[in-house]
Amino acid sequence: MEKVKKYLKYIFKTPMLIIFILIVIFYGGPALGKDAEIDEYAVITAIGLDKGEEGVDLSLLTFVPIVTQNFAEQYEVVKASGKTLAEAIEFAGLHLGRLIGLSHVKMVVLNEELFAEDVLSELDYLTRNANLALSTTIISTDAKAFDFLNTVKTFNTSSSIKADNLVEFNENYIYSIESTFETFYKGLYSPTNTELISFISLADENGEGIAIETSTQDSSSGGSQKGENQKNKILNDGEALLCKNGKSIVKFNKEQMKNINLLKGNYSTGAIIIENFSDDIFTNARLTFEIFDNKNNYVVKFDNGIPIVYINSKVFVKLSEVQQEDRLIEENVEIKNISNEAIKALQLKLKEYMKEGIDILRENKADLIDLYSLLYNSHPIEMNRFMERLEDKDDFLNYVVFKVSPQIYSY
Amino acid sequence: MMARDESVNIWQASIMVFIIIFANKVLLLPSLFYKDVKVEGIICYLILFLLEIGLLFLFIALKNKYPNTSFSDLIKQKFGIVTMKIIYFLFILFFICKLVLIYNVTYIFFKDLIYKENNTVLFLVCFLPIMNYLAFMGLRIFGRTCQLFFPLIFILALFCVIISFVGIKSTPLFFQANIGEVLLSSLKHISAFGDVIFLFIFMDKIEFKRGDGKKLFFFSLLSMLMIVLVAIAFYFSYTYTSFMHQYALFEVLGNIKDYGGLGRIDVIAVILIIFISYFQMALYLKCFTESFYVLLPKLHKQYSLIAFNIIFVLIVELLIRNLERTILYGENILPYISIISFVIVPLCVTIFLCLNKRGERWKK
Repeated sequence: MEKVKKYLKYIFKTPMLIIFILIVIFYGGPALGKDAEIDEYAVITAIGLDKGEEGVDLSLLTFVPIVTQNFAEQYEVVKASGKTLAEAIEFAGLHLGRLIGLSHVKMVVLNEELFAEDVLSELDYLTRNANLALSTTIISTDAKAFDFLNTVKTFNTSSSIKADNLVEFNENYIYSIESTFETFYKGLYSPTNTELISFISLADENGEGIAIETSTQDSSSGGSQKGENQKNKILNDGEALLCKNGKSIVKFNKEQMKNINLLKGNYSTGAIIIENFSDDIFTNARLTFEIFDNKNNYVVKFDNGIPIVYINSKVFVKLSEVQQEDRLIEENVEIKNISNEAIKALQLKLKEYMKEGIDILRENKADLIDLYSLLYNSHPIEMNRFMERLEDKDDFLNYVVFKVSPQIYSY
Repeated sequence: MMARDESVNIWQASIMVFIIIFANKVLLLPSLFYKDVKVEGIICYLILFLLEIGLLFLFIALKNKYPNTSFSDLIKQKFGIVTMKIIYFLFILFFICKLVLIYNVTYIFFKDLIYKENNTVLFLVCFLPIMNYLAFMGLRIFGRTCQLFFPLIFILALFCVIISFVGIKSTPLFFQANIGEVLLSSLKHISAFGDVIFLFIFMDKIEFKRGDGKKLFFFSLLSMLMIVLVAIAFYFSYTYTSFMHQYALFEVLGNIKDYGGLGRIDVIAVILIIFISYFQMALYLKCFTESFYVLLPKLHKQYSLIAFNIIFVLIVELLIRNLERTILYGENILPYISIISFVIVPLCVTIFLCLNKRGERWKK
């Protein structure tokens, strides 16, 4: 008893301890009795947007917490329409009987049609929403976003491959780009207002891409309904939509993206093929070089008011495949060193690709390598004078002289 | 003679200076500067840090001249008791207004990122008791607590600064703002600076010898350097979207994907922000109670805390609740309050230094 009294005396002498006990009483108790958040919120992992009759058609890929023995995650797609996205989200919440929680959204899918007009108004709500991280992946598709999410649903439910992971490593490949809200807005607020968005298509059973058996659903009605079984394929083929101020201009394929990325230099893997190569070792061979690293260095100069850009690209490659008729495969495997002729041929090939890349940028008036900043930061006065002389300022790339010099390093 | 529990040594004072300078300049400010003047926000930092260094220089000069005299006594002897009371009333206003701003920024940061569903009451329960406790205890206890946590704070801050450079991928556009815009933006956000003014409040409570000023300068410059580095890393990481990312220190770490196999290293920034926010708010509250005591010496310290809590809760609850209003308050109202730190105090100190050749004469 004495000990307890002593202890109580000690507690009352320590105000912080009393405050701590009060906090535990006031907040600990109610917290224990509180419902699980999952009962209150619908966990959304992907958002799909289609052009609606009156406004926007919203599809939400919703995680459904079900106890399973095989640890498979269950998802459902919920559809709702509204004049604005905010209204559609409210309606989707009504359909689900829960509040909409966007903290777990990893992917936003936009139907291609939305880019015909200004897509920024559709994205406004999502950008303002503090729950949605700017690192969220954003992609465009030729299919209805509702159908796309239904395919994604089967992926996420029936396999360990999550659809949003398909584009997660896009930035590593020479054929594709990183596509998040962050990269989209970086492009939008850059001096030339150009941005790229990954384009992923839904292909049928016989096309390229990855497929898991899925059921197509009727996209015309609200809620979620199951239909006939059919295999749909998601195809991440490196395609990208070029947009200017939120409106699409052109779609690039993976070859064009390769040319552009060679100029940008932000990739870490890719393959370059040289056809009909002959030297001391090979005759009419098809050589495939795998890129394992690269580094681009830009030097800018002004000569008589004309900007000159030197792009020095260091590409680190290894010879990874040789195809040549009348040659034993054992012999090919032994060849590790790349001859000077092969390096020169590869240099020429890369130069060709980079020139094509420059033509693409010029043709579309798209400064995708943020050259404007580079020129402006290094020679602000000359750059201002140069821009003042131009009638169409967006077309400045046509008046810039490019000098590309790829250097090949092999092992 | 200084009371033992009411004095701090120069190391503890320097640590407090480090914490208070670092605390409220690495969250909202880089983004707000970018909104106004783009990357030239760095120049705003440099301009305002120059003013801060000027204030520190004045403090050291004054402390060298009057090592054991309090700031209130100096004002009283030179300008009279009424002026002293007015200046200390302004100090009270300054500290409570800044505290409200810092509390709101911290509150909105945590609410936006972690505790979306929680209300202001929970935050008040979490912050107010500790702030009150730290403020109620002696200055020595506060200083030693800062000293105890400083290695952790410094290592976390250093980690954030170094790692933030890993996420840099691109270069922003320079030379977007002219000098007029830079000065205007500096003026707009001047209220986030002038923190070293707390040294004047505790002037007679800091054990100070000639040459100790170097320590204060070293810790201040170190803190300022770290802030500038965070801002540079932030602008280079986010370039054109810097204005969309409100919490710089947190965002620079969030920009790095899986550093060294570790995911979500931005949690380190959150821990750092928790520590520095507590210390900064507690120190401001301590300054408030000290100023209150000078203004109304007959009232016990507890009354100043009661007064503070009532005013603070009222302002926080009634005036400011969201980020927009907090920014509006910080950019449009608080710059006027900064007249105290950047005009009134420097003016007083300059007068003391210029007109009074011998401070000791006053004592006699």
